[in-house]
Amino acid sequence: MFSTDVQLALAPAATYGRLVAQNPSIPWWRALGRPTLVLLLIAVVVPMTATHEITAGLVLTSAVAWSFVVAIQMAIAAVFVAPASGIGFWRSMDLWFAGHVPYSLWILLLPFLTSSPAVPPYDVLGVSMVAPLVWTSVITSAFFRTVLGKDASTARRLAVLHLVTVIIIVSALGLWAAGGTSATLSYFVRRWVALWS
Amino acid sequence: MVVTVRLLRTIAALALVAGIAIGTASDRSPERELVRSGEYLILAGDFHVHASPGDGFLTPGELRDEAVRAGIDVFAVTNHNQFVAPRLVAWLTPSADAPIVIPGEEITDRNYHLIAVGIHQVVRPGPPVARIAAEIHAQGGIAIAAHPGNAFAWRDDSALSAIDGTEVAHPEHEEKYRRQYLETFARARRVNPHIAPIGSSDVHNTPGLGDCRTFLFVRERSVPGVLDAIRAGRTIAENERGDFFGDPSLIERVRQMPPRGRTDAHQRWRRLSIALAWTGMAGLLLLA
Repeated sequence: MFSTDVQLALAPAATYGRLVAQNPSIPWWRALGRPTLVLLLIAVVVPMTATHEITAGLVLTSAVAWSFVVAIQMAIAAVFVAPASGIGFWRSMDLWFAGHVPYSLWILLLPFLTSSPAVPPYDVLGVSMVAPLVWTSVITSAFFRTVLGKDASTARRLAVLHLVTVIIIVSALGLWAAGGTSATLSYFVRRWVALWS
Repeated sequence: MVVTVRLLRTIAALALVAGIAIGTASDRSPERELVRSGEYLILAGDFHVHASPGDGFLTPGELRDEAVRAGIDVFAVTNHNQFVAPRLVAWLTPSADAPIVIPGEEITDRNYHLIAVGIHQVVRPGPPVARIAAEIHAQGGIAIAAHPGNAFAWRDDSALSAIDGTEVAHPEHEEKYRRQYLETFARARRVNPHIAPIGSSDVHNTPGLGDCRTFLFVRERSVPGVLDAIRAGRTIAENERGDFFGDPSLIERVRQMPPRGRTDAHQRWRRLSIALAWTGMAGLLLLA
């Protein structure tokens, strides 16, 4: 009933083991299937969240405007799967994106997460993002162990390195969008002062 | 089992496509009629809007379509200390009937936030406000104090006398902020009698464009016409509760002939389209 990706999110090591054994190599275009689904998800959910509308035009323009998110994810993935062993680069990339369910669920829930008028949306997004970050680290650790054949401690280190990379990139983008470090820090200071005054 | 999964996947894909198709077909807003009051046209504006790329979810083009739904005639794209999204405004397909989109910036300093509208390049933040306002004016733009609460630099009269408008209507959960904006506006009027009352949504990522809005009395429906109305203080602000702020005679004119607000002519179809598209997307993710 549930997709392979959901099964993988719930039991990463066992599912990765089964997938590696099933299909050792795929062409590049098949490896783009999962990233394309992620882009479609963003293109559907972002306008839905921001306008409570869904039209073909909104989906198309959002897909173009937000394609950089998937491009960044693919670039990060490429760095980590490049040293992939026997199963090939594109199959590794495909299996990496099979572990996208935590982020996909978070994106899917954006319209609900931002719907409370009492809490600023970016506060909710910031706090709730911890769940996919942690969950994905469990999945990537299993990926490094099962797909790339790393030992347990190396897999954990690589998973932490991946987590730090994602946090640095997301923080850099957030700081840029918020007007820089000084503006962002002063915003949080004012929020804290307002909260406690 | 395989057949069942394929069937569920197909149903999910069809639901997604049907949702998008219904949403597209029902996205029709009635034609907007210009409201004339004496020698002026009354326009509805929102001069504090965040866009993508930046800290907004929608591109300037998507915001322009949303402005049609929201009953907004003119809005400014104002991201924090950057000018990437406002540059995209020049790429929009020109249309005489479409809402006017003006490039701008929310100049974000640790001591103040200042909206610049009608500029053509980024203005770097820094003290004092009067110098930054002069930079904005040198570019032909106007300067508006953004959500000017007590924590900001707006206790300084020289700052208030250097700017063209102040946000008196801004979406807030707490009454103390609403009071602070009113107090700032009252003080600004004492040192700068023509300062324009401004209502802005400060919208980022949820619906709300034009929830707080500015009504402008313009001589012509154009960017210069809009900026001229703000410089001359021919505006009134409306908050999300429907309270007006500004010159009582102008408020009376808007009350007599209010421009149409947000329209949702096909609410049921819109909700159905959202439900179908979201369910379809969830199905593709979980079952595919």
